[in-house]
Amino acid sequence: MVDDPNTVPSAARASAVASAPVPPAPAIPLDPNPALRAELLAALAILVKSIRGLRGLLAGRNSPDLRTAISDTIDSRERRRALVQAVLDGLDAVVSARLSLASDGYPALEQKHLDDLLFAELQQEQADLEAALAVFSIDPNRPTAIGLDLDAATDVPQPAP
Amino acid sequence: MAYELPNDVVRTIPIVSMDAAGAVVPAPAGVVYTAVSSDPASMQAVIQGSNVVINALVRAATGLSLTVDDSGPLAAFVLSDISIVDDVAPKSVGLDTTAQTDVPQAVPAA
Repeated sequence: MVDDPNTVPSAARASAVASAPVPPAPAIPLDPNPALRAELLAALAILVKSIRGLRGLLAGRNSPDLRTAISDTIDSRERRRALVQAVLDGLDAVVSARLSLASDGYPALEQKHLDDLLFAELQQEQADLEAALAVFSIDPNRPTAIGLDLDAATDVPQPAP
Repeated sequence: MAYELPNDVVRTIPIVSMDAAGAVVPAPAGVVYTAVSSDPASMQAVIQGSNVVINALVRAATGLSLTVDDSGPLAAFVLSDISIVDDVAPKSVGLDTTAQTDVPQAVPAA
């Protein structure tokens, strides 16, 4: 049975999950790595919360140096959040591709039916190929292994070690 | 029985190709051989054309092997149980004066 593709969390959904009080990550059908997804969602929740708090700090009456420090910290947290989100998006893409594959009937392959005339044509082609193949055979005298002609070995002196 | 490599020679051994029945047949065109010693510190093995050349790097050793392979589909050849030995083949005449024996003879007149 193929599950609803709408169960795949989008970036917006991931952010929504992150800003909520960390509910347990829903099981995603065909998720290639649920443990990694759960870990990243938890990390994302922490990042979103801290970024929100840092932005709140910026609204206060701070010295220019403190504002710079806070702003730099926000930038680094935003960068980390984007990287985490990129991995989550990748997981989502895999899930989406697997759902499409399942929708295509994977792993079953369609048995193609032909009418008598077309099937007879194929059988004739097969017979021709077999006839052509029978023209050839493997050379029984082809080299298959390496040997050493020990009787023909020659020695030249060297100082004994 | 071990294959003995005297420690005082550089030995050149022709490489051959064999068919499924074990008969020697011409080598495939463009074949490139490789030779590997099981202990390169004790026995050197190199390819020179269609020969493998081996020589001892230590005075004595046992249990060595030599693998000759190619870049194509030929089955490799393994020469196993190689021993590096002192060369005891006679090469010159000497006298064992410690084992000499005497019998009397008359003193020559002259």
